[in-house]
Amino acid sequence: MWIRPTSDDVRQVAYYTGVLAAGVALCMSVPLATAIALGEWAAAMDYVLGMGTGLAAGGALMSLRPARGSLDHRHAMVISALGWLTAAVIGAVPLAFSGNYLSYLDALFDSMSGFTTSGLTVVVDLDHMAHAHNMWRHLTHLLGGQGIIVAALSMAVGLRGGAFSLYVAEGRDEKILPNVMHTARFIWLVTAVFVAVGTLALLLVNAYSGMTPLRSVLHAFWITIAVYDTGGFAPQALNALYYHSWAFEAVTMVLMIAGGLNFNLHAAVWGGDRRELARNIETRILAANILILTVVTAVALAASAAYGTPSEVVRKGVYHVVSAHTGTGHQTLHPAAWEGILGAGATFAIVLAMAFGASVSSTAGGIKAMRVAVILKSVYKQVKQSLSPSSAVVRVHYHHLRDRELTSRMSTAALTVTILYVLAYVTGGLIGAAYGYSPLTALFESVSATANVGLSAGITSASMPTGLKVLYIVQMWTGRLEFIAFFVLVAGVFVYLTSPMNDRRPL
Amino acid sequence: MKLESPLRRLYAHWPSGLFAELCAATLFVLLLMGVGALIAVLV
Repeated sequence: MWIRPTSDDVRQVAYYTGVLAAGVALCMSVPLATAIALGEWAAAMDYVLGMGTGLAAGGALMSLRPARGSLDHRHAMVISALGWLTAAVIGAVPLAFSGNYLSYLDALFDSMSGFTTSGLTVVVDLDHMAHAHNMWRHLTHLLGGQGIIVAALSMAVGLRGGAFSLYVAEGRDEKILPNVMHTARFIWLVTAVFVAVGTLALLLVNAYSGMTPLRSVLHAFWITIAVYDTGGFAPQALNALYYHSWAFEAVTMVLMIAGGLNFNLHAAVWGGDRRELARNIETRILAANILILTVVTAVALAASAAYGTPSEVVRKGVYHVVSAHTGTGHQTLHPAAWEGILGAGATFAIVLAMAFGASVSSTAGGIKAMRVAVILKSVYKQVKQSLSPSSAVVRVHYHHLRDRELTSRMSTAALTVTILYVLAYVTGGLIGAAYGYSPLTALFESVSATANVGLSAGITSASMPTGLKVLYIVQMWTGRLEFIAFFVLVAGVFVYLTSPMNDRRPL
Repeated sequence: MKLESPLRRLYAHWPSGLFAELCAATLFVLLLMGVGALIAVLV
């Protein structure tokens, strides 16, 4: 039975969405400070306007706070869905004023790509973009990578009531610590430590490469955020190819893998249980998948005329398998080189890597290793059941933080989300092909958007059709939400609008 | 006996946990590079 949302439900959702909008606006103080410090006055004005817009919109929504009622799981799902959209809409405002985007829609594309840690970009003249705007683009990766709700929770911007519902609605189904606020702060701690370590390592690499001190620091910080949060933005139009450095690629691959791990796994290992790294089924499946796809890609590349030497196989093959599988999306290839030079075999292996994704409760998107593990275990259970006496009760176990028994509920949940991902991948690919792109390139871009990866085979640019821009924005948004929260939002709006008018009081 | 809280346990061991993760990720990257290079030589 559908529960009809009341006006109080709508006010509840509006209030918390307003809190998130105001929170995003306050975060713009970082690029604003960057602009002031570096004397980028035009960019500073963009962030003043952006903060003003965000605070005004947030304040207006917050004024709808209901006098009674508390947050429940339905509200949390809708707030989570709307929160990501609101963050992207508000976050796009300063970018739209930057002069580096052809329209507000293009700025929204990059903002959505940033918050969802996708990394696809339609920016124009990125190499001459103001530092403040690059700071904001990469900061959206940081905020989105933690999860908008988690970010807001840990900053305690008024999301204390119903905090756990909000946390779960964002797709983080396990609390790391008994207190959800401590959990949110722990996620920030892990990120802060990895960002500090990564920035230091890349700072040394950049300095050795001959960059000026300021650029070394800024590039190291931005790239670390982009790789650890499995984003994919870079401050240069050539993306990771700009750095053309073995050391850069090695350091970023380590950070990508760290970013692709489950925050619960970080908690277990940081709590002293280092064996969990090897015992966890999710880590095992992720490692096995990366290894298998590395072999496939290496064979395809070695057989090709373009990248056949060991050095090229490692630098072009292994780097992109890791980048794709962890959902990062940094690339050291020109987009046109995918299908044109690497060939269909290696490109399809990268598509599969993007589609699988990394771990649940990480910053990565895609189907994710845990669901692949549950589906594989379910297949094993079916086979075992078929070979057992009809009276036998077949139990299958796996290890994820502790020993667990596979239940039919787990299998159903994993299959449902997996099917939704596959449908979204294929639908996006078909639409891209309908626009005239080759089927493999269209599938590549569709999977990259839906799984929040950010690798591009050449479709994504400022000049691509408006319909595809809208499609990829929706794919990045719904893919990040793992679809369910999006459907709850759509169903909630439909039920509210189709309910008799006497059920709805004026807001 | 005083029980160790999850929060205290977490923050007591994190440097060694971080080190373990960085080592594991580095070894895994080296393994992938080795496999990639080996295949390039063999194929």
